[in-house]
Amino acid sequence: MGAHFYTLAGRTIVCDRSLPLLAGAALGRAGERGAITIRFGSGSGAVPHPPSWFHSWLRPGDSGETWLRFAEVEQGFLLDAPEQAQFAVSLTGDDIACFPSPAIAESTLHHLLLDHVLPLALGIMGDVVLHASGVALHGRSIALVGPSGRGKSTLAAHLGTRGAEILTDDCLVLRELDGKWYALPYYQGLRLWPESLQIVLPGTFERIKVSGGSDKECVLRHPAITFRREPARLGMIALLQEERPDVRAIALSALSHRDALMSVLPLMFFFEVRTRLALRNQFERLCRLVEVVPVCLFDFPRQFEALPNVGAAVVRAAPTNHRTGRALCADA
Amino acid sequence: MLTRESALRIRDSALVRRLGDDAVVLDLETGTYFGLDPVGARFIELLVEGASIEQVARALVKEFDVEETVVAEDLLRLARDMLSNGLLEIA
Repeated sequence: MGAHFYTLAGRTIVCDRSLPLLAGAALGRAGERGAITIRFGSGSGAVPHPPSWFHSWLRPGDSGETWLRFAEVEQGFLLDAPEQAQFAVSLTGDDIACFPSPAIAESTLHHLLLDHVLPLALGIMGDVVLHASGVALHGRSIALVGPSGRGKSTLAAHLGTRGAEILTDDCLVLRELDGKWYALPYYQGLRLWPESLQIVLPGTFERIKVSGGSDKECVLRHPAITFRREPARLGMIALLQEERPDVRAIALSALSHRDALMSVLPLMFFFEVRTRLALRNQFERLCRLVEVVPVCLFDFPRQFEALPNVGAAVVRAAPTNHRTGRALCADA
Repeated sequence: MLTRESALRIRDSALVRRLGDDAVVLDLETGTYFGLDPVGARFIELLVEGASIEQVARALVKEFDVEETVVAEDLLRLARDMLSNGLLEIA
């Protein structure tokens, strides 16, 4: 079986299977430094058996079911999505072996790989990866950060219809270069609930189901949306506050470096907490990030009719070459 | 038992990072982290120099607009919290 080459977040991905969501990415090159190899295996015999699991994520909702659990194994880490797939990630993050169950839907497998496993692998490799949507305005990027359900994708899609370029829907990869931070494009897709789709991106366009258990759909192409292929310097991080029915006004307020760090840290894709050096390095990276890039709390009403004003507030706060985000955060 | 006379030290596994006047302490073993305001950040700095909680409180009165008895109680509470989270240990 031949190898497929892709580019994701500025790295070459070499995979022995086709990954359709990455099809729109530029062709990667074999043997590049920082490349990630993904191999698909079959049969449970090759999967390492860990003595224990050190962390787990639950499915959204009240079911209490495990969505993904993590273990240390001899050569790295094992990620297990029970009854769906297992992923062995090397200590260096650049080698991923996938063991899908025969019953798993292709869309679920790709969702697990692209939206959970690869972000964690990129974190091991030294990138800062946030649970965030990313858009670029006037060449500068804005991170819309928050846990699931905060409205990141809907706001990003709305901004996309108003001229912003989409860098990513849910996984924002940040890299530091000469003291400046850049947001890198992830895969081309916007995952939205049906209601958001209908209101924010009406019409006919190319989309696919996100995974077997979700009603979300992933927009691959839309005439009103441009997916950015180039990195964009990060100008601002906006932390989307929890939805509350009493919120009527749009408010952006700047956070201190300490509060910014405390707020962003739990929203980082990183699980190598048992390796002191890796944790120290990743913590130091995040400290440098919040010292350089302004971080704001963003509170806004979640009604669809408020979206134009919410989007306009983001556009006003967006830093340009002549203005700093911090000053605008304080004024917004 | 923790008292005002206790001297404390930061555990080897804890990392202190200044962020402006504030600080964040991270335990590299457990991933537990703790944000400190300017008074808390100075508390940690003075602890590293070997001061007891009472000595730190006296020093902070000179640097910040705080009362010694109030700040000493606040520091005891903070120290208890950080001890229970494994970020400090009694020297």
